[in-house]
Amino acid sequence: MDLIQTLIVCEKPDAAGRVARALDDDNDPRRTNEQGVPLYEARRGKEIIFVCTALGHLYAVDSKARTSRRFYPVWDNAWKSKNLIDRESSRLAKWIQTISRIAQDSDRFINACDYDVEGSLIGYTVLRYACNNAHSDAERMKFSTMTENELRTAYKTRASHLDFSQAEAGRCRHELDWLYGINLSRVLTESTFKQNKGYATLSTGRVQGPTLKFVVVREEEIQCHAPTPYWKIEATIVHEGKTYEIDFEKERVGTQVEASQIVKNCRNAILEVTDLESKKIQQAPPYPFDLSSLQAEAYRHLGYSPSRTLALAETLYLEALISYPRTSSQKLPPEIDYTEILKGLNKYPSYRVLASRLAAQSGIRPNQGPKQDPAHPAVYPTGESPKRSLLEPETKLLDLVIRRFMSTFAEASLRENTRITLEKDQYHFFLRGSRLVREGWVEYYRPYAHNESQDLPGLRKDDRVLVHKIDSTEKFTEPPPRYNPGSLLRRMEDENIGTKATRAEIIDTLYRRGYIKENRIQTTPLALKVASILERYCPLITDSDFTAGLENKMELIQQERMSRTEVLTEALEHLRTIMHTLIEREGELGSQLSEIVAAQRTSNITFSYPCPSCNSKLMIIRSRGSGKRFIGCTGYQSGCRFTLPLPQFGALTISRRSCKTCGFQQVMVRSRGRRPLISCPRCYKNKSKVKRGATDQIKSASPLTAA
Amino acid sequence: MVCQAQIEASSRFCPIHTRAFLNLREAFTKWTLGYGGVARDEFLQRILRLSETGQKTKEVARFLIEDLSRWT
Repeated sequence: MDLIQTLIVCEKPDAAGRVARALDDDNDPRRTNEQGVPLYEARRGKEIIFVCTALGHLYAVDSKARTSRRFYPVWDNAWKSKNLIDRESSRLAKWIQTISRIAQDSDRFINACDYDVEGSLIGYTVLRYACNNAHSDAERMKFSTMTENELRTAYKTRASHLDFSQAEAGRCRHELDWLYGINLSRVLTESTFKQNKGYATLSTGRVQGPTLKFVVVREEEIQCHAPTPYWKIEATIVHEGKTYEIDFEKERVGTQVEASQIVKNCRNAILEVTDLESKKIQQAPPYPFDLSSLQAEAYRHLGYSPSRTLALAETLYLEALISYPRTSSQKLPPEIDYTEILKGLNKYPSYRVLASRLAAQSGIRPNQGPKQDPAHPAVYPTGESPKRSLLEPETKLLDLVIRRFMSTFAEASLRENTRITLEKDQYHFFLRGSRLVREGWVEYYRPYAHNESQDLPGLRKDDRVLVHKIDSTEKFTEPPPRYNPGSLLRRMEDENIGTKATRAEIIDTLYRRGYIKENRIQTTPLALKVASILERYCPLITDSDFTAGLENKMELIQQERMSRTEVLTEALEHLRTIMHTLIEREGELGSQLSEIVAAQRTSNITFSYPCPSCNSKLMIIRSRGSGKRFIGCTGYQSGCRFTLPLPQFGALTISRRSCKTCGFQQVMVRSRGRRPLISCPRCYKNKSKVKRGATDQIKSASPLTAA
Repeated sequence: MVCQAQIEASSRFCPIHTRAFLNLREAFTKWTLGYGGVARDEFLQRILRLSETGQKTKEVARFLIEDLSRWT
């Protein structure tokens, strides 16, 4: 009996394990480990299925010829295995060798990477370069959840060819990003380095440039804000022993004289109820989650950064607990079987009551949102139970997804808003109240839905009531609010720059480069300088319309209405002009940037809190011997030996916040995909001392106890 | 004059400080209207004390306080 050998390429090891388990006749595939590379062998009738895994991208764009990393401009590029491009990816060589070896004996090839631009491209490059051009007749599996049923169906109904248009769009994006990123970043970095004031990696790109401009423009608005005065009328009435605040008709009174006049005329005045107005407002249930709305809600309610939410959502997807999170869709198609999912949620004690109530209703339909994604539905829970105990952040995000899913099927909530108008001569005051008449979806989305009610006094038309207190308060206009990672991501989405998969990473890069800091985003002097240089010499790079135009063209490639070559040719014409201008002014550019780089380097590593021993400045120092970083005193030459330990991993910044216990300046460590860690180095040292002391005591105590 | 950056041809300030200066002048008109008259000196002193005032605006205000004739 001839067995057919099939090779399936997955994007991540966890996904490969799930695919192999779903396709194996006994649900128990053989797992081997070749040179540390996981490989699954499944049996399915007359078929041997090898399921191998990539680790994200195994291939990337690099310069065609071997040139110095400092050389620019570079135009000729080629796809190369990542282990040849950077040292950090050296282990990928074994990955590629293993896939190539299995590919030699395989009769059939299937791409089972995530069904989006990146997944299509990962599978395409692996099949083309590691499997000896197998991409031309490879097949494609499409699925949105990692449940066994869906994986089996995806295998049976797979497409007979790859989704070439998605892969082409992906190739174009990577090539464009590489060309813009490498050339612009090298010219900024190298022109600065040539000034001999130290090295700093400076970067920009076709998405990073406009994103940086958003925060810089906001920073300039804040820094140039000149407040103007206005007056607010604050008044109360008392009815049946209870005090109620009333709003004056104008939120802001423009002059002090007018405000004083209002207060004078209304002090101890009798107000007459002239109108009572009630409106019942239906609030439709929320839309199902697309990735951006999930990231925004997770930031608002759980405080997770967009990149952290994405990382957590991907873990939940790989555990088959939620559907594919990188989606732009706000629609849940009936094919996902709503009732079956609700029955699954019934197994969770905390959702049992709500889920069974929804499941009992016939013909339930979600409140579909306007956004669509041809590849995947909105994010939804699969209804499966976790196979391991989830970490707290995973549990919280899953809870948000489940409650959002259920709330989209619930009925609209009904709120009654009432406004009582009170008058005294020409002056109008309002009493506003609100109550929830029917909870509807709010019950399902609690605690993420607000359920505030404000009671009103039982006043009727023509009733009279005495002004209890009235005063005018002087206030000043505020500058616009700072962006936070969530609102910046929303702005990127509104402007259509970047993709749902890359936006969070771009914001992280701005932090890593030292362009922005803190959660309520502040720009550094370096960011202001880089943005002003780009704005002056190549405004196109910071123009969001230009980047959005390129994004649209890449979508046209996906729709097969434009070719990759056309888009690249057009974008390269712009880039050549920009590079020509920048190279011509290299010296000018470098001298402006190097001053700021040097100043920022010093300020970034200097604490404003003085040395407790000698009052000199404290700085972050890296040991020449061990390479470890620590806090040291600049008074070292004069004999001060004060030091404090620091975390050794992640991007370190000195926070402006002080420790509540000891008052020392705190430090913040950012690691990719993790929540920023803020800690006090001084308290950490003291805690370690106490711990060490306790251990020493036990050690020294032991022999005595034994004796 | 306020910073080391290159000044604009039509101004005594660099672009960002020019913007702050223009905002300051516009705010002064509103302050005059709001309080029914306010001296420039007092306006600048109060602007410096407010937490809502931007950093660049404060730098321009400090520069103007040194010599009020710089206002025009």
